[in-house]
Amino acid sequence: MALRQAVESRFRAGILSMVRRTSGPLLALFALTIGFAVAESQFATLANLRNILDSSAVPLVLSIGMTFVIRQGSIDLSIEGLMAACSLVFALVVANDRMQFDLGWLGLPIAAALGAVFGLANGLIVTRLRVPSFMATLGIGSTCLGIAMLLSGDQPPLIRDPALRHWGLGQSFGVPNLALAAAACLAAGFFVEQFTRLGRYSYVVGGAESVARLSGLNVDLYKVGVFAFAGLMTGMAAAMESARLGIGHVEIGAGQMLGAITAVVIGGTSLSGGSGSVLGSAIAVLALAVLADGMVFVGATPYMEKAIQGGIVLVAAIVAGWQVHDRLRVVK
Amino acid sequence: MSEERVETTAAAVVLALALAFASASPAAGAQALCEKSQIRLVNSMREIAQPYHANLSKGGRMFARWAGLEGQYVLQLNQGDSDKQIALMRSILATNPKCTVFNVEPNADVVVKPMVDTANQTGAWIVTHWAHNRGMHPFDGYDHWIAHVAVNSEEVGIAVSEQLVAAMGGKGGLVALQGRLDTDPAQKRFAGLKSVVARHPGITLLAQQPANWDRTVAFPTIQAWLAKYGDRIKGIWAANDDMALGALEALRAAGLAGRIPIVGVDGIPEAIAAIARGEMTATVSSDAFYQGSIGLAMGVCVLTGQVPPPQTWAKQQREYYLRTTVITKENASRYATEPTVEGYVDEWRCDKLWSRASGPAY
Amino acid sequence: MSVAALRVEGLCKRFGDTYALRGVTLEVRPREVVGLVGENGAGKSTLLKLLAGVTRPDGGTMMVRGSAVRWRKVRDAADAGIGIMFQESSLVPDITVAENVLLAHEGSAVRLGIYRWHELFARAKALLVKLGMTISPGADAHTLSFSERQLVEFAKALAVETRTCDAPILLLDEPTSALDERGVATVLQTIEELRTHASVVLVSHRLEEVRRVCDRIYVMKDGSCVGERDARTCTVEALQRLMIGHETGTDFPREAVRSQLAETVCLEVRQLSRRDKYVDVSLALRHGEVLGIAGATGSGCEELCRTLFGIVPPDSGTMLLDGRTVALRGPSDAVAQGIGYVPADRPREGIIGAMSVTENMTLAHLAQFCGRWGIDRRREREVAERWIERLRIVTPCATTRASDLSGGNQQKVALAKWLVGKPPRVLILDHPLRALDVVARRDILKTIRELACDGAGIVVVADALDELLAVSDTLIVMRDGRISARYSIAQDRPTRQTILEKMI
Repeated sequence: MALRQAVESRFRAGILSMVRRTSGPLLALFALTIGFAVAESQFATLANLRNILDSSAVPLVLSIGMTFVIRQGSIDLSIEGLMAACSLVFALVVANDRMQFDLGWLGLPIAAALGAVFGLANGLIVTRLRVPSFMATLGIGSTCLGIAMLLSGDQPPLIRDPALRHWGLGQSFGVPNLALAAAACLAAGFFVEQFTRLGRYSYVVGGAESVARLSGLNVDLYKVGVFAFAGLMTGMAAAMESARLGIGHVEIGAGQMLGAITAVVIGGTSLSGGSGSVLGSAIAVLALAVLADGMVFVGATPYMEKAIQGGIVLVAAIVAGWQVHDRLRVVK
Repeated sequence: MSEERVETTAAAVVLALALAFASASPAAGAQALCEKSQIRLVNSMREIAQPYHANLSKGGRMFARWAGLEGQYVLQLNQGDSDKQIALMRSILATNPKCTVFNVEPNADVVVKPMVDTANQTGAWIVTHWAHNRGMHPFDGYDHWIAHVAVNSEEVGIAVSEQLVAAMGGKGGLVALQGRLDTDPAQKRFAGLKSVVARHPGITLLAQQPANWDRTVAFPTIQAWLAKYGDRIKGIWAANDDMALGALEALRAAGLAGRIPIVGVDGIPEAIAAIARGEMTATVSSDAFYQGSIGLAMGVCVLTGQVPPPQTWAKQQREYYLRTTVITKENASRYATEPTVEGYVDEWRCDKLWSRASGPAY
Repeated sequence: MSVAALRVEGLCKRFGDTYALRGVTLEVRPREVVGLVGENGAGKSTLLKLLAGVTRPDGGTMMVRGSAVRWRKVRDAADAGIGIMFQESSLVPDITVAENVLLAHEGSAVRLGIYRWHELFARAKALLVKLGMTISPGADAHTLSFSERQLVEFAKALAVETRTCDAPILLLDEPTSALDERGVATVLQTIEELRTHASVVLVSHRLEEVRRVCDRIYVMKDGSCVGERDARTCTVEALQRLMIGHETGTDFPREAVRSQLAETVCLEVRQLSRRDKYVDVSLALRHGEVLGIAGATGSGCEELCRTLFGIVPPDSGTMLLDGRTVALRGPSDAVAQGIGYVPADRPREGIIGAMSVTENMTLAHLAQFCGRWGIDRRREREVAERWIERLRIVTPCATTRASDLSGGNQQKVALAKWLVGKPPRVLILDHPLRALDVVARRDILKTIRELACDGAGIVVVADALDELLAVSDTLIVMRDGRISARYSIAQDRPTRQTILEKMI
């Protein structure tokens, strides 16, 4: 009862603003979908829709964490390394062809927890050692990549757990399992963002850090918390992709980082921090997945896709900066 | 052509070449250039996470152990960075250049020239694989460039494509996952596919996409094609095994694993296992263990004086195509387990260095 | 006699080599409203920041409810029941009003880290209603109007009430500066109500309001308390006199350096307006004239300067340079038209501390120092040294880092920036005497007059009234965004009192 009241109160006021905020990526999503559906008749089928949901699952989970990090004014460049390390650990603790472990579903929380630990390391280096986040996360990312390579050795572990493989590849109620998992992560992320201190304070820390400190907030604590949360999401994403491919893979995170950052920026979170929402990022992820899938349908090469992706980011950034008239605004 | 005929032809060629080389190779007992204890063996490759590269290094290490030089084996990984591959070579040659042998898997064709020049300048010795810059050859005066072991990627492409077409029954549509198109193997293998498709009018190439040699890219691409073409897809061609395995998982997600033939290239253990299970049709192996060791073997033979210096060799001894093996269900069991050193010792001997040569490559 | 709610003795605060507070002693009793008045720069905001734990004092003692305290962070002061409403905006734009109001004071509305929105909104609503606000607590803060934001900031200060059961102490820094009459009335009413259980320190320029609602008033000047008056019995004039202080013996002899005012107008603006900042400003500046502008915070004079320099475009009105209408596209356009600007925030906007004196000077007209092969360093040095001599800048050499100079010399460097090239048409000086000692101030004033003699039109915004009077030919006073008075010094020199009345 209290929950319903809480949700109602929160959203009676905020729902309109939320719709307005996500209008940009929504527009992109609709435009792309309709465009490709018109160009290729087979695009707008249920089967292809499932494909899009499936291929957007892992980037979506990554974008949740990245939204938080960028919103607080930091950046996380450790995704690819973190995914590699978590993927290897995940593959080795579940039934595989190299080690005797067989922890089954326990592998998921283990991977997520490992990601959170690395995220914690990110946060501590940023807050305690005062290293800028792009450097700190690059360092942790490289370290994780090294750990992954050591674990992979000369033979990447193959996952033999049938339940996990089925989860990674299969569907429930006509929806790919991984998409359902991503939706659950999105719900969790949304809850944290709208209903918990960690989420609300990430807006404060990002939008007006001086105010945060003046108000007596323990800014460092929340910064570390956000990094740990992002690490948790990354670990989860790694487990998902590993279950799908059936392998603990050093290259599993290749290309994901730029995609996550792109989605967050298109989704409405300013790179200078303080605004945005995981919903916007999620919609942007879907839009980008539609773009990638559509490109294959249309027969364009992936290189074209990268160019178009870049174009979308530019347009989004320009539109976002349009409102601000201050000629003295510093743009670095 | 069937695997048996390939083997017979290969044997005949080998015999012919062996005769040719026997007449051409001068007497053994040339001057030893280095003390055995000084010899340093370096394997330079992209990375070690992929099974192909892992096996390259395993082969090199096996040779080093057999030759009693295990302590002098060095692995250099450049992570896909051409500048780094060159820089690593230069930095290790700061000491003991004249007794160092490099066995190189070049990150890109263009890396070969700087590395070969470095070898010539410092007195180190180098053997390269796969492909090199156009317009230059070991016998053009690069005395320290012992040999270039090429792989005829177009023939590889043709061989594996023939397997696919056969498995498709000679008709139907196929989709192609290309490697990174700025590399020679990717281009040549695909050219091989195209020529095979041209020869079989019942076969259509429905679509092709570069998938970066990576199974994480191959997976969604195949998914999209399945949605677009549905059951018009009767075969999947992949320029390497990693992409083929990604395609396999995509098929598994659609409940089609084993129902559509897939081919790849590299011969990694995972692919061989899939072939044995009937989920993949064929792959082509250049034998990573051999590639990772033969250059080192050649270098040791030169340095210990058991063969004369390379500038006296015949042209086809310095640049030749490596014999490759097509692996299908019939012979998969033979390659399923990891090879042991016994399988190679005969071919590392200084008079058998060219036992897998299948023809001049210039 | 009950123990004082708040008592400070001998409180000192230094910033670099300037003293913001020198030995402040004052006391706030329980259930009392105390006013704190003084000119800009007197140290009022600094004092409040010390009391709230934002900065730490360099000397003196603070006692809250009888016990000595030393704040290490803002939280400590908040825990002791001290709530502060800052003069600068302290709202976070992308969260709701309720979250802003109760930031760090959520209490039971956040259980185990999870927000109970219903309760949060209800608590915030209660505070907002007390201030007569009807906005929804769930609205995002960036949608509020300027005056609504100020009321929310007030509500934020009030929120500390919910933390402690002890009588809270509220520090309000200019709570009414952006409000209309109705808003002002509400705020004053609320302060009245607060008196029943809280103590309030009210800083304001609006002396009438201060008199109306306070019990006692402290007057600050130059970092210390110069007087304490009973609010009922004192008059606004008496307060003003205390604020200004006695005539300083060294009155600037302006008659000595008098320029002959040309008749031609170099800068004219007609009905310049910018929403929420200033309205219907018209003025005409002649070549060789020094126009002084006096105005308190919120009067719009600083924003006017920024418009004249092209930083912020006006919403309506026209600007003419030498009779020609211009629409400045930005500061670089202004510089190209011969306008120079010395900002008030010297360390952050006036000079580049890490660069040398020479580099600072040539910054605005670097193109003139470029030869075929890039910057002509020798010519740069020559010109710099010439101006160092002419403006009597004290620096070890021309390549000293600007941050190593004293405030007055830094200001001269900032001025010189506009002089090294073509002589400027118009110079706009925003609070040029801020944080300068007496000698430096006289020096700058002398320089200003010299520049006027050279033919430039100069606009000076300042709050040091006697100095403004000394240096200006014409003086305008701004209040609440409009020009409230205009004087030609030669014919009709006003007293400081008069000006103050017009300002506040």
